[in-house]
Formats: sequence, structure tokens, C-alpha cells
Amino acid sequence: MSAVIEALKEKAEPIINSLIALIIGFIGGMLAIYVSGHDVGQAMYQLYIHSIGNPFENIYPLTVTLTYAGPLMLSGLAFALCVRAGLFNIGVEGQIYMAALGAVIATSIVGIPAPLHTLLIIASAIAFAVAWSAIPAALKVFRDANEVVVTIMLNYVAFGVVDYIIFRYFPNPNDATKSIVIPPYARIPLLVPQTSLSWNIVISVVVLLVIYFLLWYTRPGYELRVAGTNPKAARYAGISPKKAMATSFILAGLLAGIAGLEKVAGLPPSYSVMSSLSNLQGLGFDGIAVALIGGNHPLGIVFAAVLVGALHAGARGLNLVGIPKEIVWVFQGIIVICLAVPNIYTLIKRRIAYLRGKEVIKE
Amino acid sequence: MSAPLVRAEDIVKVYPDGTVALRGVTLEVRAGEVLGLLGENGAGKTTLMKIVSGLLQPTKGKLYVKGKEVRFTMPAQALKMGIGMVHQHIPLVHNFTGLENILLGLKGIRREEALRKLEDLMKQTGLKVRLDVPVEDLSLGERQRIEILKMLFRGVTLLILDEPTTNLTPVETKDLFRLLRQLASEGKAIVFISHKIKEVMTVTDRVVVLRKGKVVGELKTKETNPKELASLMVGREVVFTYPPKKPVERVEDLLVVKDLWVTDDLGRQAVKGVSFTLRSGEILGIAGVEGNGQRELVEALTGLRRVDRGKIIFKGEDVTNADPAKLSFKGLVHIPEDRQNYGLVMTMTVLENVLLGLHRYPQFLKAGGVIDWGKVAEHAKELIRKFEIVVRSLKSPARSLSGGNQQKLIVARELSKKPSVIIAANPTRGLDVASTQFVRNLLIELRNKGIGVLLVSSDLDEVLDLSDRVAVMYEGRFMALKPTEQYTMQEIGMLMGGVEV
Repeated sequence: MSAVIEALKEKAEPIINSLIALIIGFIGGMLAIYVSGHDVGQAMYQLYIHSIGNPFENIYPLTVTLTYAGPLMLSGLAFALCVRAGLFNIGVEGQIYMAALGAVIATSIVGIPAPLHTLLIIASAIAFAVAWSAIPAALKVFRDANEVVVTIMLNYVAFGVVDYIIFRYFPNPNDATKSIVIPPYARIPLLVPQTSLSWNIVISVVVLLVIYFLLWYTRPGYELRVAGTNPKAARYAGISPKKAMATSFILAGLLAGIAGLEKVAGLPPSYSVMSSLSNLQGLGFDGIAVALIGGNHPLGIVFAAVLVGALHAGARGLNLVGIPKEIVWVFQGIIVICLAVPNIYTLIKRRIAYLRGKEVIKE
Repeated sequence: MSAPLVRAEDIVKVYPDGTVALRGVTLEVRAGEVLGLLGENGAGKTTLMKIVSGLLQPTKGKLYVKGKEVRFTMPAQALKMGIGMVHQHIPLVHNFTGLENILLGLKGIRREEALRKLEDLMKQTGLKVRLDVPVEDLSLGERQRIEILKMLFRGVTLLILDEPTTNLTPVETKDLFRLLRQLASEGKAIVFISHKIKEVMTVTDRVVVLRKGKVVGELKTKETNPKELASLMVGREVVFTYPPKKPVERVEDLLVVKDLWVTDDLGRQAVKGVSFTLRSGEILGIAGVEGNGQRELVEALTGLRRVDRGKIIFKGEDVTNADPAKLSFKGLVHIPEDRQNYGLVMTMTVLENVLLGLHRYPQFLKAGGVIDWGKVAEHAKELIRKFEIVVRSLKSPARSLSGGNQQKLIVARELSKKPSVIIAANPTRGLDVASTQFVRNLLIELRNKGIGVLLVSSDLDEVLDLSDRVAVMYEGRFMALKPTEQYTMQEIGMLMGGVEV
């Protein structure tokens, strides 16, 4: 029995860490609202009613939250997967741009039957993202280039390239602010009519479960985790850390591809890429926050994505009462900082153990 | 009698993670004596001396120097009071010369003047070191002498040495002992931290024995004997007894190594043309002071390091530069020296660690590369039962296991691969007495079953007690390779120090 409790305790530690960070983040965020001269109660109320509200009366706020959460789950998972393999992959952002470019290019091809065209759009989006992810993978594996530097730089490159190609060659003839539109048959259908919530969220959750299974119940997943946690032990056991890194990069590219696809083909009303990639920007970076809050665990990421999604959804309400919505970045920022300081909970626990140790002596 | 040079009174130390290292220790050091501080790993010897030398602060307790109470917050203050410690891992700046290292942190001293004083000091004490060579090019023994010289130059009256003989050749050890005796006769106090009873008997005047953070004995060296010290140290009489070695019926050559050359991480030739044959049913020991190419040899044999030249033949098949997974699949397993980095993934669960290296074995896999965790759990439970490994649960992380149980877990897992050759590198380092006995007995039993064991260890007693044949490794070469009983202690000592016999 006590063994079960101990095991639970060990499992609970990252969760407690995340909870402490959340609490500090919310306190810090409220403080920021207060200091900037706004009504804290009002702000929190707005955040709440625009992200959750009363789902039994009006499900709309919740659908907005989940709309945000869908792609966030995937971009978070893409980052977390690489962390599991020992990599700090900042490149998901750029890979999402590339996915969008792939989708738009495939969309521009005319004269093929609808089902085939749909498949082509999906394949093209994923292929572009994976190809973009293969660049840092190759540089890391063959030249041991630092993946952080490479992926950050590739994000800038991706932005320039994608923005240029899309608005030079595939602008929307009726609307200068966006690209050509994904054809209706190739769109991800709505889950709840009259809202923006599409099957995105279902796709994301299913993908998360698949990756969870892959990581914890299959040999390649096991090898990836061993290699990421301890490359020496991996080599000792005949696992190639390089192969694990390459695998995680490619999988991250795949996830980014699906995330990008969700953004352009699964999000009404635009179903396109907006100018300056404004409907894509930040998704990859927010994914890092999601992964951190979710403890880099697929199941944790589900909750973390919903939470960050709720913050984004609630932020819209802040504007209505004259509070800059950017204040939610303070919440998110403080949470991430608290999580970046490793293991607040562990620090507290050590302190307690120390005091207990002292008591042992007194006896 | 005058006040002792240093008196530590009722010292308690609790580490931030809650470990209680010292539970009220009182200890006196007098001028002109060599005091032995004896104890097993984790007894608190080093912690106590780190407190005396100002590196750690006690949780409770008082410290007196020449009768006056002091409170150190950093080693520099202790050094000012004449207390200096030579640590096990010597903290020198690697690309500085000995002289630069000695002068580091001292102000207002001219180089020439310092050099003259140091030369006087060397003449006076018989310490010989090269002062004008970057420290990284010096042997560990020489680095230690520089550190001692550094302390003497700063005028310490109490010199603390933490396990100083670990990296020394027998000749160097003898020289060190002579130096310590001489310093004591000049009125300095020496604290000699060790777990080696023989050395404590040789060099000290007085012995304090620590066990689990408490003083369990304080004796005059002349009035005690090794047996008494040993039983005080471990709390019971410890004489290692081993199962008898049986002759093996059918002897075959399992592992044949021919003219092996291997480079280390820095690109230096670490193994220089080593050849040997490991037969079934024997323990072949490789003795030597650490850092003479043993690690690189083991890594090359186990597929972790590339072989530059030469051949490794395992059961008739050329396995030079084969990968570790292939080797273990064929029956060559490795009990790594660095178990926390190579043998285990400390943050992963016991269950997951049991699978390490076994993860490609079909009996643990279902269709499509899905792991059969149920089977793994069965296997883990069997290993835990057979080897009496103490674990809280299969879901506990490996780091929650004690050192002995970590090693048992590795050994159990590797043996479950049904090996014909075991390469064990320092398999009992850092283990308590019971675990040490367990691992050593197991190696002999395996040998009796016809398995070939290559035992690489810097613990000379271990090598001599267990091995059928012994090779002595020095600077990448085998100085000798012959049956254990054909060596004399003196001969081995000389070979370890690079002296041809």
C-alpha cells in the first residue's frame, strides 16, 4: 500500500510543480493588472466568462477555448517530444509556416478530383513541415550543430520565404489580406455548428494519444526516451542517440504539419493564410509554454493546451473593458519562468527534509 | 597537557537533502601526530574534515583551534588559522604550472622569492615536483604533491589528506608515508582519511574510527590490530570468504584480443597493443592504477569505443567495432564502472531499467514493436527475488535505490542475458561490505559455471582474491600476464608503478 502511495507521490511531483507555477503566474498576472490601474476583479471576470462561462447555458466561450487548444496541443507535443529525445527544438514555429505554405501550394493546383486534391493538400502540408524539420535534424546528426541556434534561425528564414511566396504567387484575388482559400471539400468540418470549433480538437487529442502510446508502449518510443534522458546509457544498451534525435525531429515536423493544417484548413472563417502570417504566428512558441506547463507529458499537454487556450480566449474579453489583452502574456510568462526555475516543489521538499533531519538529531 | 591543536565538539551535519552525515562527533587533533580517520564509504569522514577545513558549516557543534572557538564560513579562513585539506579530487587549474597554482590567490609575493622558498621547502621535506610544467601534464601523484606543497607553503599546521593513496603507485605511497612521518616529527598535525586498514596501521599514531556519523572507536595504533579496526569499521568482523574455485571441464578460448590499439577522448593513445585470451571458466583480472588505459580497453571490448588497430574475436567471430547490442546478444555483457551513467537511467523506473539492453529481445515484444510490459514486470520481479534487490516498487525511479541495489539490478539484468563472457569494471566500487561480498561471490560462481570473467579493477585486493590470472596494466600496456599465485606483492607493486621486473 505504501508503495502505491510512494509511486503516486513520484508521479504527482511534476503536477504539483505545474500547479505551484500556475498559482504564482495568476497572482503575478493579477498584480500586473492591479499595478497598471485596472480593476482586477473585472479583468478576472472577463477572462472567465470569455473562456468558460456557464457551458450549460452558453457553450460558445468554451468552444473558443477549445478552438485555441487544438493546434496548441500539437505544437506543444512537437516540442515536448524533442525534449524527451534530449533536444531543445525551437523550430516548430517555422515548420508550421512551412506546413501552411505546403497546403496553399497544393490548393493552387486545379483540375484534380476533390478527394485526391484533399489528400494532396494534407500530404503537401505535412511534407513541407517534415522537410523543414529535416534540416536541423541533419545538421544535428551529421555535424552536431546546436539545434537551438539552427531552429531559431530557420524560423526567420521560414517566415520570410513563406510570406514572400504566398503573397507573391498565391494571393487571394478578392481579398488582399489573405492567400487563396482552401476549397470547402478539403476543410476540416465543424464539430459544433455556429462556432469556430472544428474537428481539430478531436484530431489533436487522438494524435496525442497515439504519441503517448508510441512513447511509453513501443520499442522506438522507449529507445527515444532512454536516448534523450541518458545518451551514455543508450549507447551502452545499443541504442543510437543520433537515430533517436532524428526520429524526434521528423515526428515533430509531422506534428507541426498537422498543426499548420489545422490552422489553415480547420479554422473558420478564413481557411487561408493571413498576411504577415498573422493567423499562424506564435503557435509554435506558445507550444513551448504548453509543453513546459504540461510537464512534457502528452497527457499533461492536453490540460496545459486547454489552459493556455482559455487564456487566449479570455483575452478577447479584456479588450471589451479597456484592458490591454496582452496582459495575459504576463500570466503565461510568469508561469513559464516559474517552470523554468527547476522544480520549485523539489526545493521546498528539500527544505522540509532538511528541517526534519535536524529534528532527528534533537531526539 | 596543553590544548589540542584542533578540537571539534559534538559536530552534527545534516545535508540539505535531509541526509544526516554526522551525529554528534567529538574529535581532537594534537600537534606532532598523524591521526588516522578510518571508516567505510558514507561514514562521515570527509564531511567531518570538510567542516574542520571550513568548506562546510556544521549544523550543530563547536570548533576550537588552539583552545579558541572559531566559526569558519570559507576555507580561506581555516587556511589562515593553519588548517589545510588535500582533497581526493585535487582542485588545481589544469593549464597552469605547479608554481602558478601554488601562488594562485596569494598577494604580494615575488615569483623568484616564492621559487626560492619552494625549493628550500622541497629540499627540507624531500618532496619532489616539477614546478614549471602545466599541471595537466603531470601524473595524479605529482599533482597531489603540488597540492601538499601548496599547503605547506601557506604554512599549515594541520594538514588533512582525504584518501590520499587512491591514485598512487605503491612506491609513491611509501614516499608519501615517509613525508607524513617527517612532517609530524616537525610538529605538524596530520589527519589521514582512509578506509584502508593496512595504510592506517602503517602511518598513524592514533586512529579514530567513524561509523554512520558516529565515533565508534579511538585507539592508539600501537595498541590495536587490523582485525580490531576492521570490526570497528564495519560493525562486525569482516573477513571476505569466497566459495571454492572449481576446475572447469571443457576449456575454450572465448575472447581473443590481438594487438589492440585504442585512443582516448583527447586523442592520446590509451591502449597500446594489448593482447590476451580469456578462457571459459576463468577470472582474468586486470590490475593497475586507474588511468592507465583500463577504461579505454573495456570500452573498446564492449563496443563503446572505436578500435584503431587490432582484432577482437569472440567465440570465433571477429567482433572488432561491433555495436554493444550485438555483443550482448551474442553473449558478451558489460557491468560498467560508471553505473549511474552507463548502467542505469537514474530518472527512469526500475521496470524501465530492467528492459535496458533487453529491449530488442523478442520475448519482451509484441507485434509491431509494442513492448510487453507485463512480461517485463514478470522478469523484473524474478530478478528482484533471485538477487534480493531491495526496491520500493517497480515504478520507483532507479535513483531511489541504494548503490548496492543499483549494482545488483545491473548485474541481475546483465546475467539474464545468458552471457558467456562478463566484462566487469570496478564492480564493487562504492558498495557496502555485504554488497561487495555478494558481487564477488557471484563472479566466482559464474566462473565455476564456465563463464569467462574479465575483471578490471583498481582494487588490488579484489583482483588478487578473485582472479585465476592477472595482468598488470601500465600506460596502455600489459606489464605482465600470468597466474595469480606466481606474483609477489612487491612485484605487482613495481609493475603497477611501471618498473619492469
